[in-house]
Amino acid sequence: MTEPRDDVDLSPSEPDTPADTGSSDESLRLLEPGEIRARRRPRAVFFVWAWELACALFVATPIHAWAKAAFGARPDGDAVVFRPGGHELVSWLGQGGPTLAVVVRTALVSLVVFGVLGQIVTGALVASLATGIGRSGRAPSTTFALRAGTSSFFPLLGVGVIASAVEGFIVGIGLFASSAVARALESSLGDARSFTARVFVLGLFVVAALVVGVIADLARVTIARDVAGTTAALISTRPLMRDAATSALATARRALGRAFLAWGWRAAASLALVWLGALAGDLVGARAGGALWLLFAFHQLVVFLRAGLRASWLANALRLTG
Amino acid sequence: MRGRPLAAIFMAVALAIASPSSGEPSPSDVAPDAPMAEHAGNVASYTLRAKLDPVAHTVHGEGSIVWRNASSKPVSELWLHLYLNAFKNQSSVFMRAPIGGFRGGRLPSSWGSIDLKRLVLVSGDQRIDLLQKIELRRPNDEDETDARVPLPSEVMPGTAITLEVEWDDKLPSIVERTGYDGSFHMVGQWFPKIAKLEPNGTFAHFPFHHLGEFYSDYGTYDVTIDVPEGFIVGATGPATSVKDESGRHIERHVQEDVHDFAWTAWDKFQTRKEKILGVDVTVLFPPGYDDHAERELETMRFALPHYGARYGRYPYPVLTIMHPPESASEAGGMEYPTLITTGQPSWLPRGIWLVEAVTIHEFGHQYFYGLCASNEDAWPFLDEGLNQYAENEALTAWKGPGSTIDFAGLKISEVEAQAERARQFGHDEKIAQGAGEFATGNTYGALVYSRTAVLLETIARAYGKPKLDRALGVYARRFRFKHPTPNDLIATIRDEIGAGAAENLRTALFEKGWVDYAITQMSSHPSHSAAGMFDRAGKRETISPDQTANPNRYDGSVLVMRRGTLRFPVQIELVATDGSRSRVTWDGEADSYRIPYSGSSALRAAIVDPDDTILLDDHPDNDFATAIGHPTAGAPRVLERATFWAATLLGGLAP
Repeated sequence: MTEPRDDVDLSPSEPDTPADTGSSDESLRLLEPGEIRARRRPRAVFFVWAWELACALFVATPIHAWAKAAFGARPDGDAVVFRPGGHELVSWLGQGGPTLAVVVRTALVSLVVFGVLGQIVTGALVASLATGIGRSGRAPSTTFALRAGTSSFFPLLGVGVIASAVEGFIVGIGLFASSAVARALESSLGDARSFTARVFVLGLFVVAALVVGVIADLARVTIARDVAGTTAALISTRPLMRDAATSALATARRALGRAFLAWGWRAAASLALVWLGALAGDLVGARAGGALWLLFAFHQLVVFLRAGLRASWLANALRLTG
Repeated sequence: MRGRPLAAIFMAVALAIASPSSGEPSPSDVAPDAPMAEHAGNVASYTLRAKLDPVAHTVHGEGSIVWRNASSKPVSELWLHLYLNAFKNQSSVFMRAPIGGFRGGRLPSSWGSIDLKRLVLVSGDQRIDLLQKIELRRPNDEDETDARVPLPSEVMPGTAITLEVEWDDKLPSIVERTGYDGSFHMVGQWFPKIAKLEPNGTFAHFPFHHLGEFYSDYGTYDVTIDVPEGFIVGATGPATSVKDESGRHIERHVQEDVHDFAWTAWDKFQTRKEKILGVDVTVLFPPGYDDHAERELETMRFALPHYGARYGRYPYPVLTIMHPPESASEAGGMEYPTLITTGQPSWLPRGIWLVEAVTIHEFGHQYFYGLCASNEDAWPFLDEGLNQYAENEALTAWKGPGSTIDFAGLKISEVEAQAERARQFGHDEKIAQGAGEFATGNTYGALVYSRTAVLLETIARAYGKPKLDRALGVYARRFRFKHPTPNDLIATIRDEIGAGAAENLRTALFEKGWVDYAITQMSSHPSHSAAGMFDRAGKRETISPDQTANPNRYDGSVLVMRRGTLRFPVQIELVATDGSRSRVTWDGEADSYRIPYSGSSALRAAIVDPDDTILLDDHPDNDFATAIGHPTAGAPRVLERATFWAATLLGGLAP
């Protein structure tokens, strides 16, 4: 688009290279791989959590409004929705009609919109992880991180769209192939065992799609880091994406196993946290008051820890891409 | 001394392992004093031989029928049900019914039929051919499922005749409970069957309707099944002989006190067997369905004692559970005497209790369809509705509030879920009508199954579950082998629960009865005695409202309306601003009820039926109100959960 302006020259190999901010202790620089740690950026993780909470409240508002209109005037409010047996829950959803359709669509559209806008937050998080101020490499300002995140929005979105398309294609092929395998085996193995074969084949394709997702994450961190490390006024999206893809593929050739493992255990831990969150909800049931506040705190702790795991993975990806 | 505690522990462990119902008390009999017949009278007994060709999907049948005129009138004709002809062409009553929303909606890829080759009346040494005079169709109707057979002479009450029959079945591809899929064969409604003769001398004969099921006289079935070697057979009644000869596998099954006979044969069946409460339970299932077979056995370990205590002892020595392959799932979910078919795909996890639900449902039919044998064509609710209630009751007793889904913290009970469906269709049609009279499969399913079950559950909650348990226990015992009618059910409910419950049942079944309780007014104010001018002790005294007010006391009232034609007793809960709650019971007889309130704080809210007793309530959304000016309780739980799950989804989308 335009020539990049002079890089701030935040070469990781030259942490003391003066930028243009006077004292070298105050200069912003790209961190050495060994310096990149998510635990050094609690403020950034907190920011991601706050963003997710704000968006979640927005998404939840129509659902809450609908529930309040339906149950708010009951002496115990919406407690009946959480009664074991699900009588009021089923009746509510069953009689929802057009309201249900509106609420569901609003929630889904909101989720997609916030998912897209979330690329800025991801970019800001990576910028915060990848850069630091002075020798100690302390966190850059939120403004800087957000500016970097905003600048990397389109390239990140591009990578996201392409990766999602590739993942969808792979899973689609997987569905087709697994179905064909199941059909071919059904007469000899029976439907139960052919279904197992189908799941196995589909699982292989899902793993392949997840690998694509990991490579896409490697590209994302490369983009966000490069954007954070440039002083260019305008970012050229396509070259940035091309370079990031090249870098991600090179990293994948070199260390795909390590990358997948690093992503995999964090994803597993993240799922376990969600499961714990669901379990906590079940334990609290229809209770309100202190129990509900405790549940809220626990649920938000889960959301925060998941944000931390995500930051940890992105930091790991940054280290892998060098 | 040291060895004794150890021995006791070992013994306890051994007993726990040995006893399938360990940890659960044996259910006690709900109606131990109710009379129950030991046997049905033999009216129509069949001695048949069936030979399966699994490649052509045909069955050649032959044998004899001994039929007794059990009515009070002479009989000059017989009616034969030839139900495989329902799948012969698109002109059958079954195929031409414009019914959607229920099972059996797809056309068979291969048609089915039953062709009578021989029908002979045996009279001493004489053989009188009845086939020539058989009337297969009615004028202008190509249905061939309900045939009239004129007899050469009247059969007097109490006398029996013998018929010799021979026929050929062409099984359809699997459609509505019968047919083949590859080498799998489910053989139901496969032989010429005499329609049920009512006590007044008329035959309850009817064509095979799309939504209809069956109705027959009891008898003894002695059936020899001849299939290729390597095929596994499941059938009504115990196998009294099994042999392999000349490349054929031949089993003879004999069962008395039943009114139908069905069988299945497949060369890929796996088998599990277990003796439960003296009954030999066999599960036939496709390869890879071992877990489902275990779940079906677990279900029977619970269901046999549970149903035995409620509806009387299961009287047969065997029960065969057939789980069809998924490609033949249409053969699943069906009941025949001592043979039930289940279903559900292999991947269905525990916690979604559909395997258990279909197994317990089909087993429950052994009582209402099998042992009571009401007319399923005229009164389908007497079988399906009562059985659905029994299934809901049993699953709740076994699995608790998550009786349908108990997964990831979500607990959905079957009857609570059915309440919504029962409400949706409650005003469309009567429950108590013939299967052929329902306009759609959806209304049939919602009214016959769900609304009947929800109606009974409402009666249980409103009048007491032990009372309904006993009433249904008495009904199932008193009318075992007796072909009860709706009046028999209503009379039993009247005897055991009372006139109010019986009237509600009758109104809901026959008159589309409905009910809606609603709180329409609520108010409270500081208590005060009457103000105004009073002539007391010869003087006129004027008292202003301020002078009489008692700020520490509040008075008020709540007005509850009952709309509709059903009258159930119901509770109303009043909630004061200080959090105190009180409950009032209303008999629900009048159209409205004004409940006076008096308390130390203002009335904040009121709710009618706080425990969801009246599941039939048309509008649960008007059961409550909060007084104007008081804060509502809101929906903080939904907000909290929705926020958490939205954040969780966002976490998956964003990074």
